[in-house]
Amino acid sequence: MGDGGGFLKDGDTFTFIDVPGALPGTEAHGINAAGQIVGWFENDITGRRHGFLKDGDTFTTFDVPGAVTTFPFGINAAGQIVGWFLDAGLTIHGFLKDGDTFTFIDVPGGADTQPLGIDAAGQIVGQYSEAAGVGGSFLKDGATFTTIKVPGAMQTLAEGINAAGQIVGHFSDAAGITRGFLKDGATYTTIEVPPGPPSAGTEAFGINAAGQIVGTVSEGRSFLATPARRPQK
Amino acid sequence: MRRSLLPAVLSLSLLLSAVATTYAASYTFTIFTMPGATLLTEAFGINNAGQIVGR
Repeated sequence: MGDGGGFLKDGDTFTFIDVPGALPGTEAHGINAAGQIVGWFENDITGRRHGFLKDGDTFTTFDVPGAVTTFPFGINAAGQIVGWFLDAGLTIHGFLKDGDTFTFIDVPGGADTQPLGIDAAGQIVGQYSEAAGVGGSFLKDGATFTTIKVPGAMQTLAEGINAAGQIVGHFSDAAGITRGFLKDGATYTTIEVPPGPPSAGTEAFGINAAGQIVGTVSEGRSFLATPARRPQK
Repeated sequence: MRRSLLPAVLSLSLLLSAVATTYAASYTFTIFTMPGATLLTEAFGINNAGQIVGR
């Protein structure tokens, strides 16, 4: 077995993640410093997804109130969870779950807000549809939304944020090639798994406090990128 | 039910001098796939202990 389920990779050991009673296909998307894991699952053939929080061996499931389907993506050290859901009219909205309280998130002037990551300070990154229908990305800091855009990119998709506020994601360049990026303050750095395009497109999804980045590369493989230590001067 | 399996990790440590907007970033890359996976392995999240989740 190996397809159709979530996993936790701890060193060289893989543990499969399956919500008890769920259909095959549990997906794990976020993990915090305490090892709490969030994701989603389905338990019938309606196609509705439900959120889960895995804390140790205990699974807690949840749905955004009134949602048809719920997709949790990120969790921070405080246990705050972000994601998005479909309402009864099948419109996409973002949510923040803090304890038992849900707060809805919608980018002003945009649509289809999809929060994907949250850091320890409560800053949230994600994606949305801009007015022209083009996919864009945002950083939400308190009540302030800021657009994230890799210079020169056709489309920028932010996916994750760490405690230092570093943001990762991927973008399409002018030639339509997908490349990963790291945003550190105002500086963008391209992240590419060798040998790079055109044979391998890189998508970065998560980053931790040490700056380690995970994501996917062409042909269905995943990568872990660990920053090289710089020589001491 | 949780099942632990031996890893089938393809370690491919490479040093990259990434194309950078304003500076070069160097990373050591490790490529991996989930044991038994025949389709996709997608890593989505990582915590400070280096634990990785995905599907």
